[in-house]
Amino acid sequence: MNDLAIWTEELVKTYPEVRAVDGLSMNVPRGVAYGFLGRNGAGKTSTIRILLGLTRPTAGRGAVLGFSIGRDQVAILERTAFVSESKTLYGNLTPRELARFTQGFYPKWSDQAAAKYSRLFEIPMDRPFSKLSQGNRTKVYLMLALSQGADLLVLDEPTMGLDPLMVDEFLRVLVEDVVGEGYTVFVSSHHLSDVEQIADWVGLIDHGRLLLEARLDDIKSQFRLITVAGNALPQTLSPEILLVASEGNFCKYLVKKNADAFAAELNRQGATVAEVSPLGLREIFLELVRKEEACTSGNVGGITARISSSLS
Amino acid sequence: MYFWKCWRDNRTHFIVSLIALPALCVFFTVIAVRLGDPDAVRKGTPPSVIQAWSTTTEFILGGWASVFTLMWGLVLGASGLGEEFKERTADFLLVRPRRRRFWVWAGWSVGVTELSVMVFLAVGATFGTLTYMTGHVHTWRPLATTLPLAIGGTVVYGLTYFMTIVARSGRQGLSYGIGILFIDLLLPSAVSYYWNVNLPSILGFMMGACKWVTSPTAVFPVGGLVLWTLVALAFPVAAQLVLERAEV
Repeated sequence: MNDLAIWTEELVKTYPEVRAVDGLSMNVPRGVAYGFLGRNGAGKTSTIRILLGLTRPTAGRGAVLGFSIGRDQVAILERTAFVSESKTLYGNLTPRELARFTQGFYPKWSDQAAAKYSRLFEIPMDRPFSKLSQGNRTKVYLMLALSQGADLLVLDEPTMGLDPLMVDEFLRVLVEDVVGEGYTVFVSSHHLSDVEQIADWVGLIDHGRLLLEARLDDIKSQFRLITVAGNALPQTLSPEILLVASEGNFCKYLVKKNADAFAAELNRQGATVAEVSPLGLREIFLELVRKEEACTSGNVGGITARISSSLS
Repeated sequence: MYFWKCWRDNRTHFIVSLIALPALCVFFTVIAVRLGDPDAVRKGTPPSVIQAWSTTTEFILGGWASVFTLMWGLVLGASGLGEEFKERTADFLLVRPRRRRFWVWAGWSVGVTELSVMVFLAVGATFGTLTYMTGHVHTWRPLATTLPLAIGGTVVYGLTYFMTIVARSGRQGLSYGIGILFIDLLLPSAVSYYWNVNLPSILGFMMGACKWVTSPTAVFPVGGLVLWTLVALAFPVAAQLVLERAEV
């Protein structure tokens, strides 16, 4: 587990009316940028809050940088920088005072980094936080996180309120100064293009469960959406088949690998393969979280089992 | 650095109070002595001096200074750690690498220090003025008055501090604190009136302790001091238990 920055096993968080995290198991390797994607209410923020000890899991376990969640919380926090979704800091303090406040908690704090990022992000260092624009507030939060000298950066919607130029600058900093130096970035975001720009790995969560966890390169090179027409098409999911959904008279399969072999097998079963198309992160996200009816044709298990075995 | 931040949050109010409270104590002390028999006081006639001391002690320190301290305790407590939830800064603060109890005790101790400094200066200003005007020096007894006043203020401060964490809002915590304080003031009076049973009251304790300065027969309220010190310490302990279990 030491090669993992974050791992969780069957993590559950229930609130009185909702199961926010529902058996989440994920593995975030060290030294990578990991995009944690999901819709609103998918369980992203709840997961992050569990990892940082802001809330307790109902069940399950996990570790951050080798330290157990809940038990070694201070050790985790010493090594982790967090940018929260709310981006709220003390309104009466200036960014300079906030930096002074924050540095006292972190032995690896770097004044040089703080000066560098305040210049780079053009932060007005002597204006009270309450008088800053939303974009500048986000920049202050990012500056504080980047100056901590943390082994792991946990960023919840980090680019909220930033203009496109600043988003680019910030993403460049993440890639060059953080991941480039061997540290880990765990970024939760709705902005798929931002994540696609920096992430090595992605995890896709919906209804508290991880639907997908894969290298972005693998997604680009191997994941395919196969559109098929025919009767008695396979319905069930397997480790290779992430999605089966209907669209008009067609059935769509999101296949993780060996798409050509899968398409050939469908052809052999008498189906007509209309298209095998590569997917971007956005398409995968939309396909996986979109609620569609399952294909209505029968003969479910047999063909899928055969296809799955032929793929593996 | 959290100590600095707590100080930074309150420093304007604190400095204003630091100037206002001793100034008002001096002012009221001068008034109190002049309302008595200032000529006799100036000549050092013992009954008039004693009268001046007891009047001042009871009405200034036991009266309005006690109330001022309680009010300050309420205000200070309402701006405490629980307000972080209302201001939505809790998820910034509570991911700094410290145990949650650190935040509770650090914030609480800054408030207690500020309260104690104010009480000490109020008592010092009052008795300094009295000593100057009467030429009569009471030794350690006046200084001992600092303790019950500070403990009383700390109890109310701790109560509001705790309620603010429970309610996750300074305003709500203040409301609850005032409500409980009123109950503490009214209930003992009612119980004493109807059933002739004496229940402890924080303001009663503070006023009673001030009477002890000039009364040769009065006993220093050690029991009350111990009781209210335990109550004062119980609030941050309770606040710690609540915060350690809180979901942010």
